[in-house]
Formats: sequence, structure tokens, C-alpha cells
Amino acid sequence: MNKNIAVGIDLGTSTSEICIFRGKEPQMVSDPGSKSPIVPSLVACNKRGELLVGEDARPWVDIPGQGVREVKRKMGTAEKVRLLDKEYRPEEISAVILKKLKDNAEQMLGQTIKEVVLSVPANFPDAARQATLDAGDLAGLKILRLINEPTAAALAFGIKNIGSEEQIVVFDFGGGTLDITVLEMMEGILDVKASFGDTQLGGKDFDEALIDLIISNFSKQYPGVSIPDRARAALKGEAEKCKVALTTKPRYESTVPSFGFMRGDPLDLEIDLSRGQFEEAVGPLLDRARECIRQALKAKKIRPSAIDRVLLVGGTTYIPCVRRLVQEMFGKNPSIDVNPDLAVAMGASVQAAIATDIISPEQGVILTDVSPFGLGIPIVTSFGGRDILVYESLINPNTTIPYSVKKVYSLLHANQDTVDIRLYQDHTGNAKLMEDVKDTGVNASIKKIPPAPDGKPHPLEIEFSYDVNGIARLEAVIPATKQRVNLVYSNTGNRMSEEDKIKAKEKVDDLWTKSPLAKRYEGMIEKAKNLVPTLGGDKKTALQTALRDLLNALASGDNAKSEKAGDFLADFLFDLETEGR
Amino acid sequence: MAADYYSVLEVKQNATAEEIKKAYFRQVRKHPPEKEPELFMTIRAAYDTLSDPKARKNYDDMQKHGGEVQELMAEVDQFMKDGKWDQASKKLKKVVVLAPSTEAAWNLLGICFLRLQQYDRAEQTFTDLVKRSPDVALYRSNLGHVFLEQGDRAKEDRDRSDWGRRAREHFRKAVELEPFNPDTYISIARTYQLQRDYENALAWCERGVTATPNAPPDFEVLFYMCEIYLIQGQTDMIDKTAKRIMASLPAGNDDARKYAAMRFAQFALELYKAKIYVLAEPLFKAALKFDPHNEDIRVLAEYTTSTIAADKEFTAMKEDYQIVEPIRGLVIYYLADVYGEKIDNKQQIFDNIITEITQAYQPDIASSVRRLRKVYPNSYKLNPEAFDKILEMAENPAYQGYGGYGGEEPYCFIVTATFGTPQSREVQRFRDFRDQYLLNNPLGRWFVATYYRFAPYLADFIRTRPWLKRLCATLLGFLAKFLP
Repeated sequence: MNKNIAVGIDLGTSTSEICIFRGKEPQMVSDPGSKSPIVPSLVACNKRGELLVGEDARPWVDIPGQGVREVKRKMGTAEKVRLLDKEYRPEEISAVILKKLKDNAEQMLGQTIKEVVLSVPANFPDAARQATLDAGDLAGLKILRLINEPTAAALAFGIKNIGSEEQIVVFDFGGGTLDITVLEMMEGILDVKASFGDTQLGGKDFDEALIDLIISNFSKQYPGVSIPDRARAALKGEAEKCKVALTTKPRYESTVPSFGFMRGDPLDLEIDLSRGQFEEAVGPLLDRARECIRQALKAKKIRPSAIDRVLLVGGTTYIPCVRRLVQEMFGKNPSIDVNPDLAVAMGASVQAAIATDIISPEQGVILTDVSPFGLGIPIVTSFGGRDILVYESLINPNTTIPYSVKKVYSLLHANQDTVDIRLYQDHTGNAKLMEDVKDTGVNASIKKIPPAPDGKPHPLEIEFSYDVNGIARLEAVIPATKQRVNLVYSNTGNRMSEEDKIKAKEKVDDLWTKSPLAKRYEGMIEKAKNLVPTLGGDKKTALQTALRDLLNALASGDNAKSEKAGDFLADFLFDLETEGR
Repeated sequence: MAADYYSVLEVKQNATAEEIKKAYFRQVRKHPPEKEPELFMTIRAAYDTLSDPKARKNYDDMQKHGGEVQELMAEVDQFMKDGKWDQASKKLKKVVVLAPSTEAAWNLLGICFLRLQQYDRAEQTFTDLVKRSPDVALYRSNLGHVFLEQGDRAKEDRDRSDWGRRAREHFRKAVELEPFNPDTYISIARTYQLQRDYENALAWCERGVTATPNAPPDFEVLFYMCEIYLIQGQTDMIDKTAKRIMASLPAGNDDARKYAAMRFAQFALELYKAKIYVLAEPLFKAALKFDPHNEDIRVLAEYTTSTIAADKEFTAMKEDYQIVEPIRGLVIYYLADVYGEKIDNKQQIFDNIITEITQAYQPDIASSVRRLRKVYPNSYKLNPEAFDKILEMAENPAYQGYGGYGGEEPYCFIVTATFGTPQSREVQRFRDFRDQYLLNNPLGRWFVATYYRFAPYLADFIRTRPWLKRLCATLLGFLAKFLP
């Protein structure tokens, strides 16, 4: 991989983008098919069983069992999605999208890429971050770092406006999540103050609200009508179209033939919606967004008037009523300084360029970031004479990183011989009870502690640090006995097992061989497979090797390699053919 | 202090907020987080402190007066432990003058004001703290206590309700902030208790019982529920609640059971001291359940039981003319004494009764006492020594002097000596028990408060119990007869 190129990827709920940083600025990669840098995050199989990713998948994606939408929303969960005859983990489907983006960039650059910075929503829970890292692995990418989407967008702005001094809010309203990030920029330094968000609120909810509205109108028009599941699913694309149309037009009209059935007779769905009706239907969603802004401002005690600029990021910010909301809440017109669809991928590539020293730290933009969640340990504390187990924070969410802290605790009694230290995660920022936090599974014990000679319980020192890569270290020491333990927590600590990953990789590779690229070699592969049993000795081994090389190359999604292996196999088969004559 | 924050940022002590911000960004440029994480952390810590006016003020104060404040706080700690609120408050005032941003000192000062019953100053102190740190449940709750305590001391029902409502507003906020602290639920229940809204008081208790996750049902809350049941006269519920407590205690833990027994017994003793036997009895019984082999509790429980039974017997005895009037009078006299009825001319009434007994037809007296012992054993037990003595005298021919006056001095002396202190044996028992459990126990102080807030309900208690009311009236009526 060329040392002067850095790559950033925005793996979004509804669209994904890849951007390369070359020379002094980021450059978006367009999809060779659609000629657009915005690649819909859609994965589907067509009638022939070919794998389609992006715009090409659109005609098939809403047919049940044939396509997957919005897989990002399932990241970090155990939920599976079905594609044809198989079930896939969300990270496996995400890996397919990543492979597609990687493929696009490699075609444009004519070289393979490996190291990338991937963006995630600022309030993405840890499990989802880990799943994202796994998806990168499965796609054959090395993830330099995960960057928070709003921070990335701010970087895209910052790299071009290095001299400005201002308070910035990034209002990142994408397909699946809403993030509000407050940062301050001065002397080319982007100082992130805090991020707040609703991980379950995005443009897709606007679509759902529209679908509910359309169906409820239809059912009112034809009481007792039955709507097949298939029709309901097909409405997704229609709702999206309607939403997009209403951002620029006051009305949207359309007809879906044979949408429902009454006593066996088909009924057409006639959609006729005004922008006002749409805005009324999404009212509750806007309320949630409003609450989120309020919280973000309140938590850091920021007056809207102190904000100099609001950057809009994410497709949902195109919707007029969302823009109105932003204007109403911040008292100023949102900025059009960054492209809402592209800023995140561009910022991710900038971060990749910083991480690989393409942008020098002396002159370039510098970023300080905050911890996305808090970490802490359970301690026993006395409450009105009762001992209860509570969560003790060692780092709060939205703390500037790197960060370190040292605290001294005490064992419970002089004869305590074991102490267990276990790290928990806080996403709320004010967790107090163990119910409020999640076990990270990272723990260690100091055992066989000798009794304290003076009858006073031993003090226990805890030293905790959290570095810029999101790796937390904890050392616990009993100074009197010199006993100590160390804990390391990283967001790579709790991911898919190696065994699972190997299996998943096989599955992803297998799926990827159904892509049109792989299809190009289908005939030749079949031919080679049929030939193998008929051959003997060296020739058999050589053909097997050539075949395996091509399959591996295809699976890795490496175009150049595939082409080379394909050419080699073609030559081999050609020689066999001509030899036989 | 590891590093002087001002020199870390390379700014002057009097730097403006803007200068501090600029300095921070300048330092980050020099020492970016990715390259020099250790240095960056110090820079960030300096910026976090100096860019927050409250934290900066605190930092400045502590840099200047940190040592002095620490010494003062150590003294405060000792004064407060000893309950010397006045002295503690004087020291605390010094602390908050030196370091006005030390919230902990303000909070302690507020507590001193509260203990000194300087309610206005306490209210002001906690109100300021709540304004400063609206997220701290402790300040909210302490502000609530300022009102709750005034409610406890108020005499009029209406005032009590008003204080209760004001207190509750703050406790509710505290519960929102700290839903796992059972004490706050008790506080809310107490605000309802002030309004005599027992239903809500109990409902909040029930929430408090399970407020702390992963903990057994909360003893303090359950115990407090007993108090409410007591006020309502639902003695069966006290029994049920005691069973709930029993079930929540760790199995095989004798200490826990003994502790529970002690708490119930202490509470009962407070009521016993106030001669509210009817209320003390169920609590003694509950205490016995936890610690069945405690002899002291058993004796006290029996004594309260028989006293109460004597009340009930009296209704029947009043109509029983086989017992002559002076004997009935003596029973009433003891009952009144047991119940702490305020009797004027106590000695004179007593003398009158004795005179009447000695002047009566002695076989009637003897048969009355025998009947008393047999049919009304609990009344007899009010002072068995005295009744035995009367019986002995009535049966002894030496004193047979119907119509004659046996007013020899030695005789009178003997009678008075015997009759003077009812339940003297139990009083001794009580003292032993108190010495053993109550004194030197910090919880003892709590009980003084318990009784204090309990007293207003006693009038109600008697009002809702006709037999008790009738008894009081009869007592006074009967006794009036003996007045000169």
C-alpha cells in the first residue's frame, strides 16, 4: 500500500462512503457503477443468486429473504439476518459492504489498500464498536482507529479552516443515529467537549413513520383490507422516495398497483401526501431530537448563543423540518460548510492521514477526543448504616483522553484474604448502581492476602489510565504486602473468538464469490474443478494450486490479485487444451 | 499539589478565562495528546480546573489555605462526634470564610444549624447548596429535613401538614437523584405521617423496602412501618411486619436477631417509660420473637400485658358489687398511676382510700381482695404486695375495728411503706435493661426523637379507643369521690 495514501470509510446505516487522502486533501471515491460516491448500504441477491451491493441491490433488497437493509442498526447484537438459504451475523453483512467500498477504491487507485480509519456514531455502544472492528477484519482490512462520526465531520471542516476560532456543534443525523457533538476549534486544534446522542433515532424512523401513515390511510380508505407482508416490505423503498421528494416538493403522489386485497380483489395504493402531513407524522421523532439537543447543551452548560457554527451531517439533515428544528434550538442558520453525505468519510481519511503522519503534527490539525463511555469498578459503600455495592467511576463518559487517575480504597475488614476487581462500563454518565452499568468481563483478583497486623483493613491503591486508542489499564496494589494485579481493557478485548472469525471469514468469502466480479471467473472455475479428477501427478497438483489461488484471491476481494490468478489459471487451462490436441 | 496549574499553562494567577483558553490550545499544539500523553494529561487537568470558575476558585482557596482548612475540619469532626454543635459551627464558619467553595463544610454547617434549631439559617445554607449543586441528593434531603423537623415540633395539625408538604418536595427530588437510598423513602413517609396520610406513608415505605437493589428488604424501613402501624393501632400488622423482618434476616445469624430484638425492645421501652403500655406491648412481643430467651424483655412484656389486661378487667369489675368500693378505688388508683394520669392531691387521695378501707367492714374487705385475686388477677398484679397486706390485715382480728378508728401511727406507717411504690420490682428490671442496652448507645438518641414525634398521636390513640377513653373518665370520676 502506497505510503502517501490514507483511507477513511463511513460505514453508514443507509449509505456508505470511502475517501482517500492523497497529497494535501481528501478525495471521494465514486462507485464505478452508479458514478456516485454515495453507496447505499444495501446487500441483496438477484434471481440468479448473484451478490449485489449498493445501488445495484436496490431492486431486490426489499424482497423478503433476498436483501438486507440497515444492518448497522443490528451491529453488536446477536440478531441474525437471512440472505437466501443462510443466516448471517450483522458484522458479516457489514464486511460485504466494506469489501465493496474497498473494491471501488482499489479500482480507482489501481493498488490494494489495507489500512483504514472507520467511523462509528459517537454514542455507539462498545459491543457495536467491537462488531465494527470485526467487520473490518472480515473484510481483510486493518483498522487504524475508529473515529466518532461527528468528530470526523468536524475534522473535514477543520482541515479546510485551520485558522478559525469558534465553538462548533456537529448535528449528525444519519439513517440510524443522532449524535450531537460540541467542540471548540482554535489554532488548528479541535477540542471535543462532549457528545450526546440517541442511538436509536435516525432517518429510517422517519421512513417507518411514513409507512405507518400510508398504511393507516389505506386501511381507513378500505376498511377490512388485507395487506400481504411482501407489499408492506416493498413500501420501504416507496417511503424513502416520498421522504426525499418532500424535502424539495410540497406534495408527493404515486401509485402502487395491487397493494392490498379485499375479498380476493386487488386494490391499488394511491399515495398522496403533503409535506405538512409528513411533518405531523414525524412530530414525535422531532421531539426526541429536540430533547437530545437540550441534554447536550445542558450537560456542558452551553448557551446556544455561544455556538458559532452548526455543521449538518447525515442525510436526515436535508429534511426541512429538521433544519427548522436546528435553527430554532440554536438560534442560527445551520452551516453548509461540509457536505452532509461526505463529510464523515472525508474526516475519517484526514484522521488516517494524521495517524500515518501524512499530515504532520506540527502544522496540521490536531484532535483531542473524549471517551465514548465511562469505566469503573464496584465498591462497597455505607448508606445510612447499610453497606451496599455501588458503581465507582474511574473515568466518566465525555472525559478528554488520554486520562489517568489514582485512588485509594480500603479492604472491608482486616482478615479479608481476597479482593476481586472487575471493570464495568457506564453509558449514562451518572451511573451509581451496578444495575446502571455493564460488565466488561475484564477482572482480576488479589488472593491470599495476609491479615492486617494492626486490625485495620489494608489500603488498596488503584491506578487507572485510558489512552487515545481506547485502551484502559488498571493496576491495583496493596502497598503493605506488595501484592498487585493488572487489568487491561481494550475495545479489541471482547470480540468474536478466533474460531468464530475463521468461520465467519469463510462465509463472507463464500458470499463474496457470488459477486459479479467473481462471476466473471465462474465458468473457468467450474471447468477447472471438472478437470481436476481427470488429471494426475504434477499437473493435478498444479491445477489445484492455481484454482485455490484464484479462489483465495477472489475471496480476499483483491482485484489485482484475482486478475493475476485468473490469467494464470486461464493460461494453465489453455495449455491443457492445446496440449490435448 | 503535584504541579501548579498556572505554571503548567504558563499563565499568570490573575489570567482571564480567555487567556487560559488560549494558553491551553497553545500547550496542546506544543504537546499533542498522541505524542506526549503524560504531559497532555497534566495540561488538560490544569485546563479543566482553571476553566471552570467554581473549580478554579476552589483550587485557589486550597492553594492558599489548604493546611489551615484541614486542621479546622479535623476539629469540626471531633466536635460533631461529641454533639457539640455550637463549637463545631464556629469552626465551620472559619472554614467557609477561608474557602467559600468547600461544599462539604457548608453542608456540615447546615447540619449544625439544624441541630441548634436555627432553622432559618439551616434552610438558607441548604438552599444555597442545592442551588450550587442541584444534582447532589444529600443537600436536597438535608433541606427536606429542615422542614420535616419543624413539622415534628409544630403543634397545630395544619402547620404540620404544611411543613410536611414543603419537606416532601425536596425529598422527592432526592429520591429522583438517588433512588436506591431507603432513608429518603422513610423521610417521604414521615412527611405523609405529619399529614396523617398513613396510606401514602406506607406506600412509600413499601417502595423503600426494596429500594436498594441486590439487598435484603430494608430493616429500617420495615421497622419504621411498625411505627405507623402502631399509630394506627394495627397491632396485627406489627406482628406481620416483624415476620417479614425475620424472613429477611440472614439465617443462623444470632447477632442480627439480637440486634432486631434490641431495636424493638428499645422502642417499646421508650413507650413504656411514657407509660403507653398498650403500644409498648406489641413491640415487646415482637422483640421476644427475635430473641425468645431474653429474660428482661420477657418480664417487661408480661408486665405490659397484665397492665393492659387490668384495664380490660376494670370494665367488668366496675359493676361487680362483690368487691367493695374502697378496693375498687385502690385498683383505679394504681391504674391511674400506671397510666401516668396526672392526679392532684395524690397523697391525700391515697390516704383517703386507705382510711376508707380500714374503716370498712373487714370481712367484706377480705372477701373483696380474695375475689380480686381470683377473678381479676391482672388488677391484683398491679400491686400484689399491697393487696396481700390488706388481706392479711383484714383477716387479722387485731385490726378488727369496725366503726372504730384504728388510727395508730405505726400502722399507718407500715401501710404507706408497703403501698408507696407500685411496680417497684419492674422498675428495677427496667433500669437494669436500660443500663445494659440503651445507655452509651448512639441509637439511644434517636429514640428521644422517636418519642417526640410520637407524642402528638397519643391523643388520637385514646380518642379512637372508647374503652380507654371511658377508663380515663371513670378513673377521674372515681378518684374525685375521694377528694377532700
